[in-house]
Amino acid sequence: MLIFCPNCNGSLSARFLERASVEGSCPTCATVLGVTLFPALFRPRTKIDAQNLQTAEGEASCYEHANKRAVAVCNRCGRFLCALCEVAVDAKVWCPNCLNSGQSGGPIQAIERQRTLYDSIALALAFFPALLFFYPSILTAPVVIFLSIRYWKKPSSIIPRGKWRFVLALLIVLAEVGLVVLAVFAIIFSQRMASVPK
Amino acid sequence: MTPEFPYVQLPGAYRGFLRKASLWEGVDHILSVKGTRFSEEYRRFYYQDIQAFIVEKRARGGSLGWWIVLFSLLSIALGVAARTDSPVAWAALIVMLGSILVRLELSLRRSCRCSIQTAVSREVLPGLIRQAAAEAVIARLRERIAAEQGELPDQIPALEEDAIAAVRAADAAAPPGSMALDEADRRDRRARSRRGVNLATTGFLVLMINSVFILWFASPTRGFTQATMTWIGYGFVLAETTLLLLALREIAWIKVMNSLRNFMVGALAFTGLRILASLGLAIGLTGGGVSRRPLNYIVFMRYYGNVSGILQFAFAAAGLILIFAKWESYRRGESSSK
Repeated sequence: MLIFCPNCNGSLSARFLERASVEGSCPTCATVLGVTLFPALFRPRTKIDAQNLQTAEGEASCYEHANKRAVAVCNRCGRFLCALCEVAVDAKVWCPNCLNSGQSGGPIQAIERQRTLYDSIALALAFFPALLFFYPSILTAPVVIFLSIRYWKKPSSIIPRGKWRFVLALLIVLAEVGLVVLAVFAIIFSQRMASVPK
Repeated sequence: MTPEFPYVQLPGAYRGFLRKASLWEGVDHILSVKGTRFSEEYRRFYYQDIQAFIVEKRARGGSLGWWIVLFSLLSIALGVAARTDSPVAWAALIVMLGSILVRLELSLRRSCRCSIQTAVSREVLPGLIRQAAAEAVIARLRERIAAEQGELPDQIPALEEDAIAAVRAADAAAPPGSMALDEADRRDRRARSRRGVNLATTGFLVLMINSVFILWFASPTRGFTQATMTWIGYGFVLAETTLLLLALREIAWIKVMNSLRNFMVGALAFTGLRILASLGLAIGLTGGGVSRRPLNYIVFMRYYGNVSGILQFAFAAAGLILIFAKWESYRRGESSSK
């Protein structure tokens, strides 16, 4: 039960623990701090009693640990789980195996740590060639089209985010491709016109 | 709140050109989102686990990209206003200057770094860089957390006297130097920090005088030869660099002055870049000799001198403001920690 200064990592003095909301300075580095405390800081840590985890005569045991008492059942596979194996996610109990297989089958949003924003990548790939006179779009346009089609249905971010980046990227790429095609036709047409004898 | 998006955005967000961060209120947890333009990382803090919010008051500039945009727009507005004398350009110039001043005020005096502590971790919330936003977020989350954990009475000792006594005992037993500095160390710290701040103030004042000199040099009314002015300029650069380096040596170890230290490193880098750019332009535009100068060399160098002088003046002024802000907070910290 200690509060630490985020600047110097020093322990803050008891003065910071006297009220729910305190302003003061760190006794070590003098950084001005505002600290807001909550009851969890004063809650004693639950100690795991190793004896209580052990299976007694006639009790069900954990699927993974034969000598540990089962305390829950996996909501997916139905295996018995001990206190060490039980993982509570989204008001459900999972075993570590189902959690892993669940992640491979499709991410569980409540434990996801990272997502790649393919719509932003597509938009950047579509937009930056426009700054470089469109020539790189010969390479980037197919990539943008692939990303837009491949990841159209894949959830982009946990927080609200529309599909407009994909739409805009596709529109820009179509315009770029149109311009490149037009430029090629213009070059061919001008060369043919130049070769026609007057 | 819909089941599809079970989050509501909390006030305060960091939006840079490359990096971004925000904070979202969920049903049973806070979601901290940080990342680049192309990926996001998520951290979840459950209301029942949150032990404390720690708001550290410090100067924070925010996104560097926005500063570059603001100064670029200021430079363009200045150039257009000087050339055309158009009222729109002057109005834009005033708006740009106002925006920069507002951002300076926000960055120097109303910024913070907010951390969240749980039983097993302490994480910085990168989205909360302004004090007003941090206060609003804490006020809003207090109810949520209270619903999960219960209310904490305003005077904690009445409830948790034993716990406070334990921490007090730990404080008293702390080895000298870890938490409580003895009086001699304190005196030494104060003397060194004062020396460092005095040197930094003088350094920024010399930087400011140098910028006025550059602006005067760029004007057509100068009285000395170009060679004399160049050597005077080099003298200024030598003086300001020496002063800032000596100041850095004194305050580099004082953590509360980290932002001033970083700013001084920025000022030194700017001075170096300016010298390099001047040399590069002189060689690039003249080809190393007076005879090969293009016709617009004088005009270009005058414009370059104006822009670089104004930027240097802004740098020096911001440095002096920062010194004042940090020195005040440092002094307050020293007096309140006794």
